[in-house]
This record gives sequence, C-alpha cells and structure tokens, in this order.
Amino acid sequence: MTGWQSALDPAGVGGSAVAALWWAMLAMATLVLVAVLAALGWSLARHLRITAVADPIAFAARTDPAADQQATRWVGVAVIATTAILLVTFALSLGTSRAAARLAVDGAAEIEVTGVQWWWEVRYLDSLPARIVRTANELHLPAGRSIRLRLRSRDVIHSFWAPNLHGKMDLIPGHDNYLWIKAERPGTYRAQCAEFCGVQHTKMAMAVIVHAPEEYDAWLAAQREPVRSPADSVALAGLRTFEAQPCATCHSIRGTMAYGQAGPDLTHFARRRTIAAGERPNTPAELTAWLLNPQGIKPGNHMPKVPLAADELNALVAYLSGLR
Amino acid sequence: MAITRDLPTSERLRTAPEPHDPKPPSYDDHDELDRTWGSGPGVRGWFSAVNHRVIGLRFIVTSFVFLLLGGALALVMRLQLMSPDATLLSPEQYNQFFTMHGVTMMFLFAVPMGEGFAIYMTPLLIGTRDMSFPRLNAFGYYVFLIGGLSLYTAFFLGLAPDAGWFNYPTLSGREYSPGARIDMYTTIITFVELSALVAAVELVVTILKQRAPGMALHRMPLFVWAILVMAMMILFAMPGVIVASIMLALDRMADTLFYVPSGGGDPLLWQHLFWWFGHPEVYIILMPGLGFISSIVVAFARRPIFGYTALTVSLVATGIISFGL
Repeated sequence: MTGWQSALDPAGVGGSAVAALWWAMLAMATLVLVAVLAALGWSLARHLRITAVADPIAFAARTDPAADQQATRWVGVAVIATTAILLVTFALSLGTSRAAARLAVDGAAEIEVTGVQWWWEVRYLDSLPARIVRTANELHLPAGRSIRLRLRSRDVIHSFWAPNLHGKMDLIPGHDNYLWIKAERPGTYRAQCAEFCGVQHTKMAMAVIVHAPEEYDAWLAAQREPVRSPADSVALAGLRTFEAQPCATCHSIRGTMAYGQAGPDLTHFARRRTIAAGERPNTPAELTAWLLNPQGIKPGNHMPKVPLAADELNALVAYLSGLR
Repeated sequence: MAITRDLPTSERLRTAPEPHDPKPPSYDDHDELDRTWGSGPGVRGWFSAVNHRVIGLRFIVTSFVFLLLGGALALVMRLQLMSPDATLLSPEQYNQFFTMHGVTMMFLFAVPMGEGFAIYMTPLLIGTRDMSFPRLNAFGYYVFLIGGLSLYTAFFLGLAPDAGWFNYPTLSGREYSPGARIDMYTTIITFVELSALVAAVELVVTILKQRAPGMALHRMPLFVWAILVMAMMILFAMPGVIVASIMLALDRMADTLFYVPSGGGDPLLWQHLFWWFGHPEVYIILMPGLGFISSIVVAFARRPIFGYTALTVSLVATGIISFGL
C-alpha cells in the first residue's frame, strides 16, 4: 500500500479523500459479494432439499401465493439495497469532491503546470513578472499550504496525476483547468501523464517534491536567482557552446543569452533529480548519453541530436552539471 | 407476470388468442416466398443469402474471428509489457497495437456479436419468418465485414490508427497525427457504425411490428426485451460517434476547425460526442448478456421468470441511465 506513486499511500488532503473513498467502496463491494455468494449457496442448498419432482411441468406451473409474496418481498429488499448502495456511493463521491474543493483559500500561491509532448513545464506565478520562476519536470510544493494549480496544455491533451496527493485532472489545449492541492507529508512523489498523448506518453513523468514550508520558501528564493557565470574555463567553454550551438534556440538559462522557449528551461538544471522528464537520473554520465543521442533514450521526442565535438560535449556536460 | 403465473398451463393455452388469419398458406404462397427470399445455388447464392439465421450466424462467426485477432494483439502487448523497456514492439507499433485492439474489441467484436445473436434469435423468439428488412440485414453484414477487413488491411499495410480507440483530438488532429492513419479510423468507424445502425433499425421494427399474434409486449421473452433496449440505445448512441468522426475527417481533410483550439474549436467537443456513444456502448454490450442470463436461468430452473415486470423496467431504466451516468 506504500509507494511514491500510490493512491493508497496518501500524502495530501485530496489523496486522503480518494483513499478513504476507495476503502469505503472496497468494503461495500465486499459486502455485496458476500451477500451474492450467500444467496447462491442458499439456493443450491435449497435445491438439493427439493427431492426429485415427479412432474416437473406441473411443479413449474404450480401456484404458491405465500411463497410468491415472500419472494416479492425479497426482490423489494434487493431493489432497496441496490438503490441505497448507489446513492451512498454517489454521496461519498460528492463528499470526496467537496473535500478537495474546500481547499480553496484567498491569496493562495498559484503554480502553472503546462503539458508539452513529452515533458512538464512548471511556472511559479507571482504578481511581479520578474519573480516568476520557470522550471521543468519537477513540481515543488510546501507542506500544509493550499496551492492552486493552473493546468494547461501546449499541444495535445495530457493529464496531471500525482496519486499520493490528489485525483487526476486533464490538461486540455484551449482550456485552463484549476486544481486545488494541499500536500501534508514532506517527501518525494511521482506524477505521471495519465492521458495518452503520443509516442512517448509512457515516459512523461514528473517528480513532486513536498517541502516543509520554510524549506520551500528558501528553495523558491534560490530558484529566482539567475545563474552566475562559471568560474572554471571548461564550464565557461560549455556556456559558449550552449549559446553558439542550436541548444539556445529551444532552451533558456536565466542570466545567459539563451532565451529559447520550445524546450525545458535549464536554469538551476543541476538541482533537478532527473533528465528527460523522469526518464534517467541526472548524472554527468546519463546527461552525456542523452546529449549524444536523445532519440535513442526517448525515440520520437522533439529534441534533435546536435552534432558536437568531444571537447564541446565534455564542456557542455561540465557546464550543465554545475548549474546549481 | 400475472398472466403467466396465475393460470395453469392448460388454461393459458386455451385462452391464447386465435391467429388473425386462420387460412393456412398454400404452396403457391410458398413458391412466391422462395422466389423473393431464396438465395439460389452456388457462390452467387452464398453471397446473396438474406435469411436472418444465415446473416446472424455470419455476424457471430465474423466477430468471433475479430475477437481472436484482437486477443492476439493483446497477447503481443502483454509480452511487450512483461519486462521494462522491452523491445519486442517499438513505441509506434505499441500504439498501433493497442489502438487496433480497442477498435477491434469495441467496434468489430462486442457490438456485432450481440447483434448476431439478436438477429439469429429474435425472429425465432417472437414467431416471425424473418427480420423486417432481410436485404438491409445482409447489407449491414457486408458493411461490417468490409469495414473490418479494411481496418486489418490498413494494419498490415502499415496504416493502422495509433491514437487510441477513443482517438482524442488534438492528438488525432492533422498537426499531431499527420499521415493517413487517423483517416483510416474516421472512415472505417463511420462505415462500421452504419452496420450497427442498420441492425438497430431492423430489430426495433421487427420486435415492434412482427410479433406473433397474442404476443403482447408484456409477454415477450426477456431476451427480446433486452435486444429491444439495446437496439434503441444504438439508435441514439451511434450517431454521436459518427458525427464526431465526420467532423474530425473534415478537420483533417477540409481545413475545418471543429477541434482546433487555435481556430476557435474545442477538443472537448469530441469528448462530449464520443462519450455520448462510448458510455452507453458499455451497456449496449451488456444488454444481450442480460438477455442470455434471463433465458438460460429460466430454462434450467424450469420455472417462469420471477419479477418479469421489475426486470423489464430495470432493463429499460439501465438503457436510459447509461446515457447519463
């Protein structure tokens, strides 16, 4: 029942409501199963008691008003029970939705999650545009605070699903969907795109990191800082490569000349846990493998293979691995 | 319930109404029927058969073959999923396989199989010679067969649809799915669903207009009730997916913008239309099964059905509620 992508290991208000609903429905379904099996067993036992009937047709056509009346009563009981189960389940579902809706508070922080084939863009919104943080494939949340997620899509329909924290909600092009979320237990969880979105749908994951509130504030403040120019010469050569090669056409790094918007923002890239939307751990070796052949790791993804000389590649990896 | 349970068997037989036309059919009538509905000899006769039992059986056999094909696809998918990052199928192939599997099971197996049993059994159960429009019946079968064969031809030619059986835009739109794959989906789905509509029209007319004298609606076998509800559901549900598919085809081929958000369209429109069909679809598939159970239990328990009225009302209510819940 535990796991970093498990609806039965809730770590948030919405997740707890969903898990409670799941257990309630399991209990009701078990009751129904037991009742049906009991009725079946009773019928079989009763059939065995009715010894061989001499005239089956007459037996079938016999009338027994008392037995009929009793059977009718049982049908009534079954109908009422079924209707009651339907209504109770419906009420429980409504209650689950209400538990999630009660999270709405005034002045809550808003985080925008945008689905892109096949990665996640995350923007921590702010009334001051300069304070907006744009990052990718990691969602950081403060424990104990209600957060409003604005869910959007840049291309096709995706779905945000972090089962430990909440039920899923679709990201639909042309629509802004809002999801109130409140994480309660710090930890690292996993979100997965839950609507088939094309060839790399499987490998469209996102880490959800729940911090203690002060830790979250410190993290966000650090993210607002632009990156500093690297001190050592290899990393500096890496920055020059990034700016001179096609990298900067699609990626941006705040504090450099790279302003591309098509791909993930790479400011503070080295602080991220994974590369390629949760597909590989963020280590220099994996990063090298990814840069050498992105199509080998996620076939069909929109990152082209950029031909780089060996020293350029090493410098680039050194630079990106130093973006803390 | 009242009528079947309250009277002993002999009494029920005695009070059954007389047929409307007591004159027995002459041999001339029989020849006339043969000339009109007979299928003639040879291959041509085989293809021009219109008898409901022949057509029903063909529906059952054909959809069973599609079941095996869809099942084989599922087995390959399970093999692929047996270990992480297996390379049995490429991502593109996997998407084609699960799309083909879904389309096959929903459009080429589950509904046609139910229709096959309905077409075979209904005239026998309500005491009529054949379906109301036997040639239309055969037409529906061939539409189904040609649609299914076209889909598998496309699959083997490398043109299988790959956006899931639900085929959501904008993923299935021209921008994110160039090429002919999705055009196969829109064309073939529209085509195959015509067959379901044809069968539904026939079943409704046959059941409502051709019951044997004396078989009032409240004396119909529950199987026929289940089929009547299924046919009514098909009549209302299938146009949703047909219209949605035609609009998607127009988006892809005629530059309309029904589902394109940048042009004022909305991908949600597809979801509304598609699930107007897709949700009742589940119960369209369930209905014949409920009918089977009602008939089988009655036969083996050797008792008339208990709670006939309640069961009938439940079938109808399920049919209606399935569009909403």
